[in-house]
Amino acid sequence: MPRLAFASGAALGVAGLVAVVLSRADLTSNQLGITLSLSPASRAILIAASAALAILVALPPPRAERSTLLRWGLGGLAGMTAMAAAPSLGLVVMILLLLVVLQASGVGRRSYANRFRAPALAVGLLALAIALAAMQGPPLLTRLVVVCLVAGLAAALGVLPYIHEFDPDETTAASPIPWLAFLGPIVAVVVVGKAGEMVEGAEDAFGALLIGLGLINIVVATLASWRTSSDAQAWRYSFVADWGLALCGFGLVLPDGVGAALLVLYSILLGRLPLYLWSRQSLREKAQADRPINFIVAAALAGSAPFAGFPARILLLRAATAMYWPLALVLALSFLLWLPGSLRLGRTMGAPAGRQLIGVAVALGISVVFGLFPRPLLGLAGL
Amino acid sequence: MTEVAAFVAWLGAAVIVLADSRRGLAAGLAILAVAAAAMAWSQGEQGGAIVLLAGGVLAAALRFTIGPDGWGLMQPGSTPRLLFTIIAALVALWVALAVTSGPSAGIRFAALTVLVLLGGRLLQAAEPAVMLTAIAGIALVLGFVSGDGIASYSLAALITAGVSAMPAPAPPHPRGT
Amino acid sequence: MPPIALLAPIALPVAAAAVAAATSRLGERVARLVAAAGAWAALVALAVLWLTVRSTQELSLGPLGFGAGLDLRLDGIGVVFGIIALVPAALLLTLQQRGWQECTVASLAIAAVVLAIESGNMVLTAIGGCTAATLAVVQFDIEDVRAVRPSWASVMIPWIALAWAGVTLQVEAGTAAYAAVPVSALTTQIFALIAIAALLGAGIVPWRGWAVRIWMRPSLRAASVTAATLLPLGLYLLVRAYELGNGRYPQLWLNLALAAWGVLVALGAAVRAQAASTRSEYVAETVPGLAGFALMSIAIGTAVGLFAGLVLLASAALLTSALPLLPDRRSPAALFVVAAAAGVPPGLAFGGRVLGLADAFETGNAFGVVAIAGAATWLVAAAAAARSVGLPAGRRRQATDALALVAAVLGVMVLAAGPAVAALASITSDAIAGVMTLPAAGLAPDPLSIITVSTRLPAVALFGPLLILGAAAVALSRPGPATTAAQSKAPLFDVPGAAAAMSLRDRVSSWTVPEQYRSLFDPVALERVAAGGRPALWLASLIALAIAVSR
Repeated sequence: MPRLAFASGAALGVAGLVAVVLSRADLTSNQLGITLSLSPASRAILIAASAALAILVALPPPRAERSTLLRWGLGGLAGMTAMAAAPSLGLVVMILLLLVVLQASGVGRRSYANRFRAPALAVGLLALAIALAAMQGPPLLTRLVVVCLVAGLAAALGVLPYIHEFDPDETTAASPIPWLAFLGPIVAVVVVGKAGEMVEGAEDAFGALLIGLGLINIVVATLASWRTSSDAQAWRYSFVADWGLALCGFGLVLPDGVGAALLVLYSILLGRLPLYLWSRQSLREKAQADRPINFIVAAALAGSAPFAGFPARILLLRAATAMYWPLALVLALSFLLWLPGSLRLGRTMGAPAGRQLIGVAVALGISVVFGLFPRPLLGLAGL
Repeated sequence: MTEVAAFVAWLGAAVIVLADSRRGLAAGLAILAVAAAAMAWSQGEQGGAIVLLAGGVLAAALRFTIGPDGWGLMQPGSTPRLLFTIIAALVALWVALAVTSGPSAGIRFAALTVLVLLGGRLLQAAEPAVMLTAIAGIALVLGFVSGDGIASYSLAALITAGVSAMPAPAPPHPRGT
Repeated sequence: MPPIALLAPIALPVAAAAVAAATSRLGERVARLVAAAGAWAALVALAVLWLTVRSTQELSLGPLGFGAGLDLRLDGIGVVFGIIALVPAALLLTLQQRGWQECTVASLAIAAVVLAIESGNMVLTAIGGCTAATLAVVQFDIEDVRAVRPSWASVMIPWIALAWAGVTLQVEAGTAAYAAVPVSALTTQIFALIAIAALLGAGIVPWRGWAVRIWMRPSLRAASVTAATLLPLGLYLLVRAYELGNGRYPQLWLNLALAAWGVLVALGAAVRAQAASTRSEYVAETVPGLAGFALMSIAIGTAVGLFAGLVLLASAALLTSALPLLPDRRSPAALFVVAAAAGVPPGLAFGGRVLGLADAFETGNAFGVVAIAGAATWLVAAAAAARSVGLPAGRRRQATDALALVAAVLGVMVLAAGPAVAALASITSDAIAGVMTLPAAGLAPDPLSIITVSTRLPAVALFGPLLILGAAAVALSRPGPATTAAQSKAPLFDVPGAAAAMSLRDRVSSWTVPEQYRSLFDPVALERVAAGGRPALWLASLIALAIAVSR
């Protein structure tokens, strides 16, 4: 029975992925009484998330059960797809609310309140943004909508200043990592995509706030990833640092900026998340290693060429240069902050062997392919 | 009618803020559901109003059975929360009447005050039943501010009921992947 | 030759890397042979591509997705730098013992360097360069994780700078393709980024940078391959900048500044070399010293200067191959190599330095001062070379006699190639013409002499007799046993203020926050506050955001 359940779940998951892949970005459906459509960017993120789940189920980390990974992953994917297809931000936030409640209901080491509070605050802030956007009033009102949207997004993701509490020994499913690395990308793409009509007249403020928050996250999180005492915390901060890049990209509303943000999200889903999960065993055992594979992983995590982080940085520099060159200078200097933390994280992979080694090789291979040729990924997202 | 519904919405949210046990929370949720349904009705969404009311009442009924026993209203130490409900109402009233414009000032007041009150309750509370009730209330508000017709009302009602049906969380797990 | 063949010099080392990794179980020898074969095959492919067409070839395989396409371009300058990078790399992969992991990574690094050189646009060059730099760091760590290596930041900064220069060109000029960028687009700011990339990418700095320190490692396998590939790649950027600027840099003072920097680099290397306490420390300064002179020559901005820089780079390439093969004992091989590096006539390094300094003198104005400084630096370097003969070895590595013989042959080649400098000029003049305008009379109308600004340097007539005399002297001399043991020697001179500067540096690096103020800068406490999930902090952040946005 368990095998049958697992096989059925996997088959349904594959069917769902096929449906997403086959769906066209410009098609809409009115069959359920509401208009459903997938934007190209959302579709691309869903495909990447599905691919990440497939890799992790095929090559599960030590002591992780495939059925558990599949259950949580498919549940998350279902919610993500619903959010991506929803026609309005109100429906998106309601689905997000459901996911918040379901994720917090899992078994974790932190108290229920601590697990629930930050994502629930995100729901409240986004709801407040929707309510304010429906009102007519002075321009300040639109700026408050901007604040609520950006703060709500930050709280949903778990980035500064709404960083979620983190227990290094907690299961990944119950930790803040799913928000940062699995659900977060689609939440960001959908919120940013639907924010356009809500912030009319305050687009500059929206972009500036995203960029400001992004820079804060880059600087603080990269330094924290380097200096924090716990290796698991260092991994968490590395996700936050990558989100800083993505937020900057979304804030630079040019296509290059959005492309950069999407590339960062792909590298989180297909690179950083699997590597983190495969490192959990060595994190528990505090086993560090200085083998070649550890340095190559460090290079991938640092966004060095030829890995996927480098073209993201190039696109970000291009967008920033086009908009305001001092920002490009700040970003260029900030890229160096990833290096010491990444060296540390590379060592925490330990000495991967067997399935874990194959998984690491697959993740690095994907990163190299899309680091040298990101065009298919960007084309998938409509850029 | 909208103004009365708005006041009732505030009352429901205030009860949720001031209650610490399942009966008080259920009462607040029920009051909020009635107000939400009334506001949907006043917008011409009769079907949505019925759906919201049904979902809200079901949620309240479920909440009545899940959580700490008793009413828990106005427990010792709840004075700051009482002040919070009053100040939030006054600020929301000012925003709804003086800062913002357009029809349905009552709906604006209701949305603002309920979201602020329940958002504050989420930040302050530690008891799972309280937090789930607060977020269920937010779902009800989302139902009538989303503007997606019957879809948003239905989803809001479902989520409100579903959230209230969540059992008590399991104890912390030692370690995992 | 079909344009797709331009991929061959890149694909062959990549294939060699894959095969070396796949055949790891067959032993280290197989991996070494495969890696060496890949490097030699890339060199042959490069030569064949050029010799069959003898003109610029281009290949465009479409956009890659980050504003640049897979645009490859092989012109004369690309061939010259490709040869300068590939010859020493192939020699080292052939002669040095390496494990399969080192072979794989080294082959990939070579492919990345070739990609950077063959690339038709600046962004792709940045990707190739960054990949090569990253793989260099990985090589160092595979070889010996505890030994000194370049900091990752120091090897990444240059390529981020170059990428930024590339995207700025894309934004302002619509393209970063070397052949298509309008001259007016090469502003001082963009050139500054290219210069930063060039200097830091090659480690050409006056202080003891990574390009010097890597030669102090116990093993020189990774250091030699890195020096062979990254040094020419850095200077390649400055040569390409001439093409972008239609033969000149945006401002003349940039030429002067770079030339002065080159002399400072060479002077720093010479000063440290004359104070070296072991031969290993001396050897560590030879290649960086040559790099400094090469930079000085290239920066002058004339065809003769550029040629002189290429000659010095070629000398550095051959010496980079020879130095790791030397045993740590006094030997004829060591003597030949050290003499070649020091610029003993009639060697290639001698010819390059003479041409470069003469060109600087002939250019005049402030370049004359640079030339005087360069000449003085050469004197110090020569004195340091003479002093190094009696120094203790410093490392106690044992190289086989066969490798020592190869090193000796390479040293002799550099020493004997001086008379051929005019022939080299006539071969490379077309390549130089691709990036800057040659004088009306050309660079070297025949293989016997080189035309400078005000005169003609009869290379064969001048260097040839010197070569014959030198060969006769070596043949007639009878090397006897060393009568004195190697011993430490006092430096020829002390740099004024060096001790004070070192003491200041030590004091600054030992600064800490006073005990009573440490609680103000407690990152652990700050982290606990920020990551503690405190609602009060969240509310305060919300208010702060609202205030920020409403202004």
